[in-house]
Amino acid sequence: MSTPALGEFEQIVLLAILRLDHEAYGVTIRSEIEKCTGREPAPGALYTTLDRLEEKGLVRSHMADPTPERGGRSKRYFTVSAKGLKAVTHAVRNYQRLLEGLELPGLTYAQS
Amino acid sequence: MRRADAAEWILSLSLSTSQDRAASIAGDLAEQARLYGARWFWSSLIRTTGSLAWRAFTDAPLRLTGMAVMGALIQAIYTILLMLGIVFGHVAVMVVLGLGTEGTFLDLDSGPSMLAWQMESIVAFLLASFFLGKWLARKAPQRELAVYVTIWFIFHLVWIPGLLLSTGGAQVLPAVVPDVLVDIISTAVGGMCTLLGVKRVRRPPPALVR
Repeated sequence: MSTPALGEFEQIVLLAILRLDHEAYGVTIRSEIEKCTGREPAPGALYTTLDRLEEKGLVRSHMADPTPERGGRSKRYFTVSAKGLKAVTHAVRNYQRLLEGLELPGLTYAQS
Repeated sequence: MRRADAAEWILSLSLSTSQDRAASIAGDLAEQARLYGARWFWSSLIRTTGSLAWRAFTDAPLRLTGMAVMGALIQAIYTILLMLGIVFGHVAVMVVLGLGTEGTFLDLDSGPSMLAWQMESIVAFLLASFFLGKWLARKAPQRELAVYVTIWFIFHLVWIPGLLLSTGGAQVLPAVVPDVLVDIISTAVGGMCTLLGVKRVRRPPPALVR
């Protein structure tokens, strides 16, 4: 089975979910992306990307943990599936291969 | 938490998935609104609803365009039928009351007749918009907004070139300003009536009803 291609934002979202482990839902994913990239993703873009990733089978979601500050509404927690992990690993590896031997201002990537 | 209830219902009109997802997104927005404020909440809700409606459209563009054409036809047919019902009802009432046909569509020369025509066509349009909402809720559940926006878009694809042609393309802006204003108001009020029709068929979540 071939590894599905990922867009840049899809990679960012998958990596943010992986970083958050079991605490990944809309609010934490958004703030993790902002913390790591300095970019504040639009909520609409985030939710449509999460839906798309779930349809591709790259993430799974479940509802849990309704809290009063959310008006008693459940959080939709996300986890990266095995397929998603494979896809993001593949994308990052390709990215690293492109960077190998390059010298960028403030960054140096040695050849592995 | 009323705004989260409203958000959940609005989102459920554009989501091509479950009510649960609408609820979780509304909860996320409400949670973040404590940090960013009410303005952020409403602007994020509008943008998120737009994104989800757009996604619902791009998932099945041909099907949604077909439904929009059908919806536009249904609204046009309803408007004509209701208009006929209202104007003939008006005449019948006037005749029964022994007031003649003054001020009705049969009295072509008078000012009140023109006003009556306009009022009756507005009522027919608003009622037709309401019935369109009911139709949308039955035929395009959880895609109502995407289909409604497509109807609006198709209508304007026809209406704007027609307007430009009718004004000869010259001095377009001053000539079309009143028409554009009427269009904005009728789109907004018609949209509200459509929403009422949707609401009639698809009940809002219990939290919003309370």
